[in-house]
Amino acid sequence: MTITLGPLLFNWSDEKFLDFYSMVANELEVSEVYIGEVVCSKRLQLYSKHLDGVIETLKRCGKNVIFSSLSLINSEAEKKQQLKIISNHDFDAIELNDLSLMQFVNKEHCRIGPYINIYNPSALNFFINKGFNGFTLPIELSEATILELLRAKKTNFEIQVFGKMPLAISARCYHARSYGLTKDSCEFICIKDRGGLLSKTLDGEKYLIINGTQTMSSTCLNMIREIDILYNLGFSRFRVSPQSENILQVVKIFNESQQNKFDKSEAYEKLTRLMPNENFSNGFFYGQEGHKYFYT
Amino acid sequence: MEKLEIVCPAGTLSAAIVAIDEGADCIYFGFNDETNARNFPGLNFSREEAAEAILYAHSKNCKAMIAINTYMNASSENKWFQAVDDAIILGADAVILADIGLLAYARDRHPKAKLHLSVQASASTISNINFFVEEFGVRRVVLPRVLTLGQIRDLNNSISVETEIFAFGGMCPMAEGRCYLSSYITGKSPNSHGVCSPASHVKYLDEKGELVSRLGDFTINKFDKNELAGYPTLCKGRFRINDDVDYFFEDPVSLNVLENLTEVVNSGVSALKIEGRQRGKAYVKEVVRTFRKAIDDFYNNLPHQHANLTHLCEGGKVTTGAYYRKWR
Repeated sequence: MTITLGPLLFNWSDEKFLDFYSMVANELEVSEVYIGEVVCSKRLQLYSKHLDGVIETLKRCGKNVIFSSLSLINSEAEKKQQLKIISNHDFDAIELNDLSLMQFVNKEHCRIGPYINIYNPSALNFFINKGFNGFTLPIELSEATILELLRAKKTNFEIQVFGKMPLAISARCYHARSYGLTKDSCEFICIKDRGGLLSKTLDGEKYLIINGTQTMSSTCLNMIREIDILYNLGFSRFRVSPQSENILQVVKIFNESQQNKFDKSEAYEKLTRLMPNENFSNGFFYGQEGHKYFYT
Repeated sequence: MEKLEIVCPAGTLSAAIVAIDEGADCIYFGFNDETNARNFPGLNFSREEAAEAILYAHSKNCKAMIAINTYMNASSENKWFQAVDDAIILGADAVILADIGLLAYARDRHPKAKLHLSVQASASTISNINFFVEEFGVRRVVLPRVLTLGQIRDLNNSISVETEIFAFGGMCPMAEGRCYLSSYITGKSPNSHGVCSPASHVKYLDEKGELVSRLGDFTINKFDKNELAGYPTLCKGRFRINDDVDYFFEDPVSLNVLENLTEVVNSGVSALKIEGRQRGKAYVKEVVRTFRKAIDDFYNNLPHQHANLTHLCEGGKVTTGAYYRKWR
């Protein structure tokens, strides 16, 4: 069983971006690192110059580096930009998040990402027959659905187990809109909010997080108490999504929990103490509201 | 040049008949279960009603399409397979599908059936559309509401199949089929259950003279006495960011392209879709009649003087949505 690091979903400054991946390479106890811009093609222009260096550092430190594609490819220019990055860099694998890239890639070298809808064995089998051999499942799948997929086929499944959840993507940039700008004139304003921009209800409750064209959960997915169930079902990879804080400690707690240094309830308590202001959630897994946490 | 086809919503048999009588080129509807993306109580068609609607449509030279456009439940795929089989046996002119597993089934079992790609599949590029054309023989693509008319024109110049775009009605600001907001807030999703912000989770409360609209555990909006209280769709509420309160995702607003028909026609689309299977007969009658006249006038080079549809729009407001870059 391995803990993987998902793609960075936020727009960070060059300095923070480089510091983060240097920390990931040298200190983070993960074997696979997804890298790439999932949210906005404009952001990719900003940091693509750093990709070679970051990939090299990660690999030197023994990490597998997997490219994670844009989740909504909206134009030919964006498609070409993605293909150029794939062909110009030495990735260990590619994660497809939009079917626009399907015909251009070597399927054996590719995984299906969480933004491609696989809800049932028929869809799963279609992609397996095409040669894909890795699947990160959509965030909203319940245990019952996951069970049916695993019954249908034993393959390499991955699922996000920690972090803010990506919930929607749009052509509109809500981040720019909330600052009175538009996507075309955005001035890369999203760089100001390194954990996204929190929206609250009129009662002051945390609602959703705006991250450019993406909308995310304000709660933090925490499946540390469900990992054993998933492992016993046949999952081999568990994804932690980058946060602006505490990622080193989070991965350490997940790893130590897997090494049975403490039990799952204790691991949950450690995460609660580490992030006292965070509301955890796991409702999707139980087929319930995704924002809720069920302590089973 | 082929005349633009008007594709009209039918939530009930009587709405279907009204749409056909008002001059719809095509009606679309779903079966009364979670196989379609408007799975609301009291809505949609039994197999018998579907048969009747198709017969009536064909007698008036109108086409009938059946939307089976949710993602199949992993443990009951047969329900979706059966829906496709029944739609084709009943004589539907096309089935509108999104799920790759279901598309594969339809292609294998019914190689001659006309398959349309639902907006729920969110195919927005040449290569994405070509994937569905090559793999499943899809003949028409309902384009997601993320493209400008310029992008749609470029797309139509490069693909071999027809496209259909949304022309009127409620609109998602998010890419369809890739939105899990409703299941995050309510546990019920468009992809799995065919509902977004379902009425079963809506509450209106009176709080010190203010009307509060709630969805699940969250307040979506508050209205004072002079304001029109809208439905609490989760992305069309008023929220707070820092000290500002606004409709940060989308205003309560409806799509309408009637003022932009020339550009719509020039974009090369084949059909205009009117949203609103959940709306009543009166809505269907007025919108279809207005579109029929506007389209006929356009092709007859008559000056366009459309009836005003604003009173049928959410919040009494209209938008051209993603069709122009300024929306982004």
